Amino acid sequence: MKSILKLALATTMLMPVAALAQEPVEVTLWHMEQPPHRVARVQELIDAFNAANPDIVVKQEPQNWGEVYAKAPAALAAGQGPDMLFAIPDFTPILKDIGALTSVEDFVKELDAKHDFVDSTVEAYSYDGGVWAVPLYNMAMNLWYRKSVLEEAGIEAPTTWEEWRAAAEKLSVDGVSGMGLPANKQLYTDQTVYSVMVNGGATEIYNEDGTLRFDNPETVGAYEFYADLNTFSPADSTSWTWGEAEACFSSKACAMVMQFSVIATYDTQAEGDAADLGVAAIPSKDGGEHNTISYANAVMLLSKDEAKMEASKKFVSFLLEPENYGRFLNMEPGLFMPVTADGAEAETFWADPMVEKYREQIETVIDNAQNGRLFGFTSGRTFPSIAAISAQNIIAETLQSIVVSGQSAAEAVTAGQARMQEVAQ
Amino acid sequence: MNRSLGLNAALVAVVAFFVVLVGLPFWWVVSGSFKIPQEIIARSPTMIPQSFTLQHYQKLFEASDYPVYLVNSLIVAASSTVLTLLLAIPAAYAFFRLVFPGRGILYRTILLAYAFPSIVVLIPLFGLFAKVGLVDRLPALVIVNVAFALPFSIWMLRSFLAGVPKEIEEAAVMDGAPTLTILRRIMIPLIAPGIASVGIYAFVTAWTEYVFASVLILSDAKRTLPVGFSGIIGQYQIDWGLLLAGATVAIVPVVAIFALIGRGFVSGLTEGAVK
Amino acid sequence: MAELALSNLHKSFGATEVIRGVSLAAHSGEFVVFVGPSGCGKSTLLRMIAGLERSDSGTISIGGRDVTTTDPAKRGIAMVFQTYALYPHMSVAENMGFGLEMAGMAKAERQKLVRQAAEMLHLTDYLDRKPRQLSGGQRQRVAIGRAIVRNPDVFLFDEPLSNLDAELRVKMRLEIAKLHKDLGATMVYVTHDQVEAMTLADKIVVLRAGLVEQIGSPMTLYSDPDNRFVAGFIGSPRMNFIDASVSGIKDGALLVDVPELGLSGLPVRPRAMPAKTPATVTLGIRPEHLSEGAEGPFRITLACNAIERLGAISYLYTAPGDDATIIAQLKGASGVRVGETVTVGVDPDACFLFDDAGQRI
Repeated sequence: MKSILKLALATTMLMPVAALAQEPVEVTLWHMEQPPHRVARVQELIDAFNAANPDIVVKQEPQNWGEVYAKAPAALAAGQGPDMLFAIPDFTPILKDIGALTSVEDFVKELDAKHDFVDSTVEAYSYDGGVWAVPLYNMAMNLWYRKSVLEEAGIEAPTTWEEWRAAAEKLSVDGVSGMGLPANKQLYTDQTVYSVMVNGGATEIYNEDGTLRFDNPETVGAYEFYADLNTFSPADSTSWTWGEAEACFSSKACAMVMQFSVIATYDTQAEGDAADLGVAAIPSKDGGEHNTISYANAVMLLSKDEAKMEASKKFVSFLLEPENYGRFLNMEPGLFMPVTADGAEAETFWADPMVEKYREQIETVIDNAQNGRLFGFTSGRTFPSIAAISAQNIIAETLQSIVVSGQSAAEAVTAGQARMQEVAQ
Repeated sequence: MNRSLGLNAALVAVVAFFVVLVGLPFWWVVSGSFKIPQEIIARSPTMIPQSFTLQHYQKLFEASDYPVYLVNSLIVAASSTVLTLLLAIPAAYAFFRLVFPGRGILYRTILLAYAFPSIVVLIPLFGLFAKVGLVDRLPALVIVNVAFALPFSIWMLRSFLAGVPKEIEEAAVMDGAPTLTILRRIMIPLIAPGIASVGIYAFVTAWTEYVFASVLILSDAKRTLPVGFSGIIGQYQIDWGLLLAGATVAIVPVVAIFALIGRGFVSGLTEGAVK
Repeated sequence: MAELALSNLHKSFGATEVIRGVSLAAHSGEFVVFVGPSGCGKSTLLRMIAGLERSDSGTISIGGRDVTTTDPAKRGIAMVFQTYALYPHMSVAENMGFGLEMAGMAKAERQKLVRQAAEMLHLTDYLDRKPRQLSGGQRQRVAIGRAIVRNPDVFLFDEPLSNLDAELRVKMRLEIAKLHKDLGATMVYVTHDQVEAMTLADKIVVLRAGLVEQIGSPMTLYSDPDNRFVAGFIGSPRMNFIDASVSGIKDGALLVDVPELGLSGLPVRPRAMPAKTPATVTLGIRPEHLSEGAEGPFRITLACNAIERLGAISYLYTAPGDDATIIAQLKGASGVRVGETVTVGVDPDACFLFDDAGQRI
């Protein structure tokens, strides 16, 4: 009797444990790639992962860049935050400051050994004695043009600022704008202006000790040049975001634009002639090394629960495997560039028909991205005030003082530094 | 009225000007939603479409979550409107006809709701809703919409109630009608235009509400139209056709409401009741 | 039909006392009219009877029941508003039947009563119309019909004809009079128009500044006013008031002198001989009692400074626009012109005397 009872008791005690063992770990992924085809591609990869890992269930919740800066901290505070959250370099400090992150240095080292990260992408997330996110995909600014248009005007793709200006001038005929540059108080203008700055020796806006050095002769020179180049842009460039620039290029109203990638819109909204699409590195002032602004997108791991953290890491590793990574990057072909060396060679990457079609351009873009910089993350350190500076679009604002209000570049840059100091408080 | 030809011509010109000013953006959006992408971004814009395609609508309804957002928005906006009306009408009547202690103070207090920009109350409200488990639930949006629409709605109904002559209510009192019956049988039919106005106001405000919808809703399946739509059109690569198609569809319920209520508008209702 | 009794009613709006102690009674079936100048409180008094205003003190009873604190609908009254107050969105039939519906009466019975009242008021053809499709007179009849169907103990009318044009007013006045005869109901009627008061009332209550000046039948108020106010209020054009002095007493009459008019020793019989003979009095005589071309000892000459010819009669004014003007009624389309004089006779029996406080002597 007693032994049967013991057996029965033991069995019933085992049952909940068995049940626990069968219950899958649920992790939520928040990313900001909302366009439907991107969401669909992510879902494909999630489904594949879930099928291969029955003990884990991954769910995605696409979010909006505009809201997520406020929403993520609020959701975390309410205990409803995600386990994985995509990030760009200036989003990460915000979450680090509220204590939502733990360093993933070891995990990144592990992945680095396996896949060989592009160094600048890891740098963007390495500071204060830790690595706070895992790089996932890259976006860098390039100069786009039509080869036939340049040929007809008898010029080559510019490599110096002088050539650039001459090209813009020459190409401004028949109502076409030679160079479409934005002059809006908005992130796109921050990006394009900084792209010019990094090619004019004005990469660093901070000193080593964290004080601002925005106001310097190189910066002024860069702004002068940009403002001058902007005279070859359409009159409405003061309200441009990325979409307007691409529409201008697609409709041939602009001969050249600066953009991460125009491949998608060129293919669907313009003539889609791959042979005619030209891309070059952003011209540098004197023709030396070309730099560009780059956004190394990464994923932050937020789970406090160990099982969930493990599950998240498993998923991220899954994504970076070359057989999956190509499909991940091609959720938007031609826009997202690999951050790993083996990713740049992955068959799954080049197998996509769109990527194949524009192979030449994409190879150039990957090359250019090696020298990517992001303001505030350039010296291997990050300064918290960059979040406020970028949120207020002060780099763009400074440009507007010149283009819209008619100030001189020197005045504007001095005022710009003052503004930066103001919001840095 | 006999107006001179010149004056007539001038009036027509002014009216035409405003019709064009208001109507042109609508025409641009709706006609553009049927154009092929190349024509949408063409250098010289075409007022009369040269092409026709349903691809954008196809993409909108088949390849995106737009239908989900649309349904969510309809649910939230309709519920908000109905709830606002159910609360605002008796409240307005109580404030402006009945006499009870503290009436004046209470009336001024409800207008305080507009002293704070919605952003300011956003975070505390989020915390409040999180505590009662209302985060990521559509009822949370309805509550917020109603709370913000009520003070103005009560205030708006006031002017309509004030337009009903007091003698009519007194006659109903003399006829032995209890207060709620007076409200239901006498006042509501007489302020029908006011109720329609409040209904439209509440619906449109709820339909276009962005700030709270973007923060209080976390999961994609519960997103409302303004928030969800702004996400799917893309940030770096804008799908213009999708944008125009989505905008066109978003206008439809509001236009439908206007058409419906416009017919129910009974103006001049109080003609003949007095004097 | 029951009687209405008001006892010492007081009402203040804020700091202003509007009804300052009013008592009166209406017998069953009586037509009582409240008259007075604007602001005298007649409408307020009516509304207090209706129950739309609460009195501060005093009692109201209808049919012997104390209804001072009873709800309006339960007082056994029905009110006809000055502005008709019809429900614009309901048909005539629905308007008239609403009160019965509120009382819980069945539809068939309601319709019967509504039809009866409609017949009485010649509204049968309009039962399905909405108020905005009716003329002013028709709307007023609907308002009356709404009151009739409730079969109240007391009908209340708040200046019901003041929004109608002159011709319609005359017509509706006669209809209301007929209605009163047919129904035999107690009716309380408020008006500022003394023609309505004189023609409709069994009893007139003259109000001024929240107090009752006099209650009496129309003829009593006309021929035997208690004070100068009532004397001047009743009768149009207004009674002439002339400052005079008393020179003596003879045969129970006071001898009155008006030197400016050449009048001396006019023997006017007071209602009651005062204990102390007053030195100065106000002499009152109605324009219609100054006889043209009369023989007799008492004649006055009037200077014509304005003349109004109405066809059947004419009015002469000695000082138009002046309160102290004397008005004389002349026959036909008088040939008297401005600047001429007329001699009229004064009949002492038609004269009234008022003391310095305005009270009748």
